[in-house]
Amino acid sequence: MNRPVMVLTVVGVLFATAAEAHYPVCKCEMIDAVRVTCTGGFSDGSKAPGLVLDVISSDEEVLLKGRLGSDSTLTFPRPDRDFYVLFDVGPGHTVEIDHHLIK
Amino acid sequence: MRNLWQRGKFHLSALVVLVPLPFLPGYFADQPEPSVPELHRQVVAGPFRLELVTEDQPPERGIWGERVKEYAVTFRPGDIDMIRGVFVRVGKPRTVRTLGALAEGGAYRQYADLILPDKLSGSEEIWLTVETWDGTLHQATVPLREILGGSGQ
Repeated sequence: MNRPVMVLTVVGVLFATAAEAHYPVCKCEMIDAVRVTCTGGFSDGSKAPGLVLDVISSDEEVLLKGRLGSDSTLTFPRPDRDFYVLFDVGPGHTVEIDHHLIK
Repeated sequence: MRNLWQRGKFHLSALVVLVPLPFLPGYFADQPEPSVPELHRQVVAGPFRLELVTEDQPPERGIWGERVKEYAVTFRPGDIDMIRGVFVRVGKPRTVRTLGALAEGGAYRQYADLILPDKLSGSEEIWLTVETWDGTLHQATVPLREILGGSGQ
């Protein structure tokens, strides 16, 4: 093994971290009387800029097709009917928040 | 003195290698395996007979404050060849976009992290959806209180 490869191997071993499963997480709250801010991310603390966050009515009409901003949040006016927020990272990796939990 | 060190340092390093020897008998001695009691529930979803398994421990809190509990899904040998994915969630899925957490793992046992509501009424159900390779969905339910673990809250 030549020297650079050996050094890289040693550095790789020293800085290796355990691979751990993580799941999507989302929180939503009213920031004033009419607007909701949702923050999406992952259970390991990482953020999720650019990922899908949709607002869907209880009869499954998509009210807002959104994506999280660079700060991993999305702000939207609260719909005037029943709805839920769907943070959709991919099949089997979603979070739903029902409107009555957003205060 | 310097010569003595130069001559002895090799042998000294060899002695350091021997330091673990006194600890080896204890290392190889039989130790009881740490075991956490588990809860098991048989689930039949269409043609598939599965088992939902979790540790008999209360849910944990994630760093976002969410209540989360890990569930394992076990399969009969051969069933996994027909199964594209197993999804687990609390409550009936609204649509195919919201089938729940996708279990991940091997051919006999897969794991899913389930986020639980902060407050439970006691009537919640775990919905388990099995998707086959032709897109067919088979569903089954288990009362959450039966397989929550810990104090059941």
